[in-house]
Amino acid sequence: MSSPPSASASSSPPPCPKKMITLRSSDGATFEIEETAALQSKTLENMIHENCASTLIPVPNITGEVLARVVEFCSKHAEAGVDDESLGAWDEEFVAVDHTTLFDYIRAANFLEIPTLLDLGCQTVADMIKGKTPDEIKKTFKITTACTPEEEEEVRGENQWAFE
Amino acid sequence: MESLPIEVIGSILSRLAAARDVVVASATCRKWLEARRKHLRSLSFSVGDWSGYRDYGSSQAGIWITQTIFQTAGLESLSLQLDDVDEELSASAVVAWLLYTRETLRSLRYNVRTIGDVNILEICGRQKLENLVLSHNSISGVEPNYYRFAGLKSLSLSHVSISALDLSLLVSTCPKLEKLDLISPVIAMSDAQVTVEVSSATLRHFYIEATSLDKFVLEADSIESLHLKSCSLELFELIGKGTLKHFKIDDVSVLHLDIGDAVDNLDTVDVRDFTITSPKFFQMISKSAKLRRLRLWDLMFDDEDEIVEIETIALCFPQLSHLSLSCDLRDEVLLYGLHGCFHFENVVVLELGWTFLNDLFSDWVKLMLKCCPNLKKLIINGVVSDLKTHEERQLLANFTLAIVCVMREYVNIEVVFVYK
Repeated sequence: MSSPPSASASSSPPPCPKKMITLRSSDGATFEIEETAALQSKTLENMIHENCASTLIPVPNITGEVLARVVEFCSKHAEAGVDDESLGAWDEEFVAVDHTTLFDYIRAANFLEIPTLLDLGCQTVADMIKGKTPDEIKKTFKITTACTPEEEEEVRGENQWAFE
Repeated sequence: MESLPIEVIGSILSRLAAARDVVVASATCRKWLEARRKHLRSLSFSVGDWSGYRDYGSSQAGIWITQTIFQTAGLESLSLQLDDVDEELSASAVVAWLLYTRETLRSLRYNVRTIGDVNILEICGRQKLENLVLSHNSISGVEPNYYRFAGLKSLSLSHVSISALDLSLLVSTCPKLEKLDLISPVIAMSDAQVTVEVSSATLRHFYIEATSLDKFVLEADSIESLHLKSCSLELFELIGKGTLKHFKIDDVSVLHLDIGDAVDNLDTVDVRDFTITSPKFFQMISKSAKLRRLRLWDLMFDDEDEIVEIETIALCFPQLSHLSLSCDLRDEVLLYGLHGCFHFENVVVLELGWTFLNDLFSDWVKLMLKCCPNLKKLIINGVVSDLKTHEERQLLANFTLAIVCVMREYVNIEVVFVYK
């Protein structure tokens, strides 16, 4: 996107009323989102530029429940005049959810290429992992496709120093 | 969790960053192991995270670090905080780590003590580095024809020994540099050279801390923020094109300070603990009609002519929205300007502070409140740790009562107390 030569660093209000985009989730629910908020998703940005005429974008991989929250996140982060501290507090509350929901957010952020949400989700999981042993991690996140004992031995053997 | 793509697991491990945590977590399952091997972008080895790097000896730590780094592919960010060790690491091991990662590395934090020199500039110049934080090292023999940091945007040198000439040359090898931090630099100067001169057309942010130099000249046509902290200088000169927006001085004494004539874009001026010995300091900023935030805190005026009257502040800066003032009211000097009929029309946040509390302070608060008709927030900032005698504590009690009365009168103003 090119900007006019005289534009300042901060965004100026668009000359026309805010353009709304409609997203349709995998289970058929629709959600409206301002175009400025939708641009936080690189995937949506590309789709908007390609399908200029249509304002309905299907998002087949994401359920209505998750999509609603993702729309909320993007809208909040596109808001002007929110200071870093309150946005940080809002983000903290946003990710204070059960693991399944958190992974849904991460998956959605990955699919829609929303760097802010992906960073937030991944950092939250990283903070949960820190200091835990592999067994504890398996239990916390209910991972069943775990390493076989031989595979685990292989890792431990290679990097024994980390397991002391 | 199991349906998360492997790249996302890599992102999660990258945010974990601390090497030991990453290795342990990757033993959870085969997918995580592969994520560490192929999709890990960020790794950190720090004595602060695990004392084992020090406790098991540098030679052992060196082996483990080498193993772990060599098990990765495509690392973009590497942090080596291995200064607090009992013995120095082998230079050849460290060079091996840097050579292995240099083609993809974008960010390097390097604080390592080695036996023998590691020439970071030579190893990492001509590569993709965008961010370099160097601590407790020395730089010499900069060769601008031999290497360029074509992508370097941010450079931080902390406790680094470098000559004035090499510093100047180093900045010239960074055509895209936007941020430069110099913290406790040990700048050697030859007898012929008394001035440190740094020039960058792309530099936007400059920070210098804990140094005493004769003369520092910064030429930066795109500079937006300038921050000096705990410095003692004879001369500091900024040569630019009037792009400066944020100017911060903290615990600095400088005989001659010059930020140029074009100060139209100044948005924030934050001055604290500053000995104003340079003439016309206030005149220098007084032409910044767009100024929105001003802090004048713990100032010492060598020259009575320099004392700023509050009325002058109101007249020079009509757009001011945040004002922070603290002074030693024993002089009664700053109350002089408060009998005029001027207003800070746009000030919404007012911060007033004392270092020595006396009866005059609450009067000052009341007078200032009258001058700020649109105030939304008042911050009272005071030092209370040295109020020890009964009289002194009584002063605080009287002051508290006075402020309670003020708060009853100005019910729409949020009041915050910050006591140290």
